[in-house]
Amino acid sequence: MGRKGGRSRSTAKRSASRRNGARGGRPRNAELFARTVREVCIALAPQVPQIDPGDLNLIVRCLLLPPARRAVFVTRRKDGRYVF
Amino acid sequence: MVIGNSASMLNGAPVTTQDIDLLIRDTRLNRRKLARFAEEIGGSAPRRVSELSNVEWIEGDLAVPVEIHFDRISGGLTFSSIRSRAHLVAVGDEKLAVAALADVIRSKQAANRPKDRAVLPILRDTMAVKTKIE
Repeated sequence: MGRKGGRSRSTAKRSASRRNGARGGRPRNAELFARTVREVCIALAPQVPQIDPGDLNLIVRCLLLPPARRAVFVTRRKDGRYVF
Repeated sequence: MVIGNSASMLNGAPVTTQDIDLLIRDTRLNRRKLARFAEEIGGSAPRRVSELSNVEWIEGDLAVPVEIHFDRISGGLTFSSIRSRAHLVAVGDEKLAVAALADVIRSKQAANRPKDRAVLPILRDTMAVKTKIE
């Protein structure tokens, strides 16, 4: 009874998964994040016309990142190389 | 409490910084904590930035120095007033008290050094966007 796994035979579902992700399935988190940033920028741009679109993109990206990922400090490893 | 451009970053502004600015109350207990903190990051004892300033700095293993401000910063902002508007930000296992972006902007406006003037436009833009998003 019911679906027993494997690919859905529905054409609509298969084409939807192709639209969502490059190789089918769910899009990667980075892809989803980039889409969200873009959508927020599109919605906000008319409200803040004085802000350069590139800056707006940077700002929205930073604001939507989890706080722990916002701050990037460079630190020196014991081998003398610098990492983030 | 984290202030300066580190606070701007934790508030979501796309900026970088060459130091970590902290604001603390100048008490004997805090002085002891500061000495312990300096030791833990493998740093020097806190020392004054200049004779004319009460700001101190610690050079440690963090690759960027830590600057310590006591009780107040430019713009007539006191520890209590900044803390009343600060928020907690989780970074790893720690929670940092971070000054509000509006306070960072106010202090930078008052300090009015070239490096403050350079960063103010992006901070103001971030503030405008933040207000719209929230």
